[in-house]
Formats: sequence, C-alpha cells, structure tokens
Amino acid sequence: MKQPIRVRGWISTSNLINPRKLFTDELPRYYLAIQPESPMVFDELQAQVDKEKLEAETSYSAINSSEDGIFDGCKVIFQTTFGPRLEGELMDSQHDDEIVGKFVQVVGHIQILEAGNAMFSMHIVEPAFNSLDGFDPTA
Amino acid sequence: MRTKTGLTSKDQNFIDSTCRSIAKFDKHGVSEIALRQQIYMLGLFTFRQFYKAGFPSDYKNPSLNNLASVSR
Repeated sequence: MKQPIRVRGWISTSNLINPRKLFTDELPRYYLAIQPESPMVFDELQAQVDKEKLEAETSYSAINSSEDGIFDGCKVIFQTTFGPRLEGELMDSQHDDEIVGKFVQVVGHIQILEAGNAMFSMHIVEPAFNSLDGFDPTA
Repeated sequence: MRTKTGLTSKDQNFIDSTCRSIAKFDKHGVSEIALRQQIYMLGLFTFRQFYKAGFPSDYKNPSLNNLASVSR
C-alpha cells in the first residue's frame, strides 16, 4: 500500500471551496499550493517521487516523461478531482481567499500517471500549529 | 569551468517565487512570527545555496563550518 505524504506549510493558492474547471476538464479540479515550512521538503518529496517512478515503471515513463506537476517555484502543488476533507476552522470558510496564509497540514499521495509524470493528490487538509516548533529568529 | 559559489537561475527563480509568496502572506495578514520564520528560511536557503552547501538538517544551525571544503 502506498505511504501517504504529509506536508506542513502555508496556503498560497486555494481552489478547495470553488474548484477550478478549465475547458479541457471533465471534472472540477481541487487545487492547493502551499509554501512548506522548510525548503528541505522539496528534496524529500522529489526523492519519494523518483522512488515511486522506478517502482511504477509505466511503459511511457522510460521514454520521456512529461514534466511533473508537483512544484511551482517555492510551492508544493496538490490536485484532485474529489474534494479533500477539510478539518477544523477550514470547514467554516466560505471563500478560498479566506484561507490564504493559513498554516495547514496536507495529507495526500504521490500519483504516477500513465504518461510517467507525477502529481500529488490530497485527501485531508487540516489546520496545523506551531510552525518550525515555534522558532523565532529574533528571540 | 564549474562555479564554486553563486546562485543558479533555478535558485534565483526559487528565491523570487518565495519573495512573492511571502508578500502575499503579508497582505493576507499572516502573523508576524510566521513572516519572520519565512524570511529566515529564505535567507538560510539563499546563504547555503550560494555556497552549494545544501539545506542544513538542523535549520537552527546555518553554519558552513561542518562542510569539508567550502570556497569562500
């Protein structure tokens, strides 16, 4: 069974309450971009993705996989067609803008698509606390 | 010749993206301590990347002294 991934960070862009629907989409797309609390997360996630790609070995992946949709600059991207479960104060939000800047934990999975590229799905988005264990660089 | 210090265009893009993201959080009223943490991590990333040192396993210890050879 696939191990879930857990990423803590601040919500930068959210389409959790009003999912995106582009012309090419058959289903609405729930989208979340978070800035993780530590840049180390990128290397850790990339290592997990590389490992899962090796295990998946789709017929296309060995040739030339398309670009992964997992990072965008300093953000980790989660996308699903099923709405993730929102917990705590996130459940009471009416608009996506209200939750920008909230510190959350996202639980999801790495998905390796047929074309060989990877994406992160999300299942639970919950409030998180004590970013960087409360570290204050000015203290 | 391989440069021993300096930021790559990938590093620079990451830094630009982080600056924009932090400014967005500031606009949305994120707490002061969260802003300080984000700016500290950005500075730490920039400093360590400049010396090709990678991100430290302990973010509270930014020193380069534990590296075998660092071009200064």
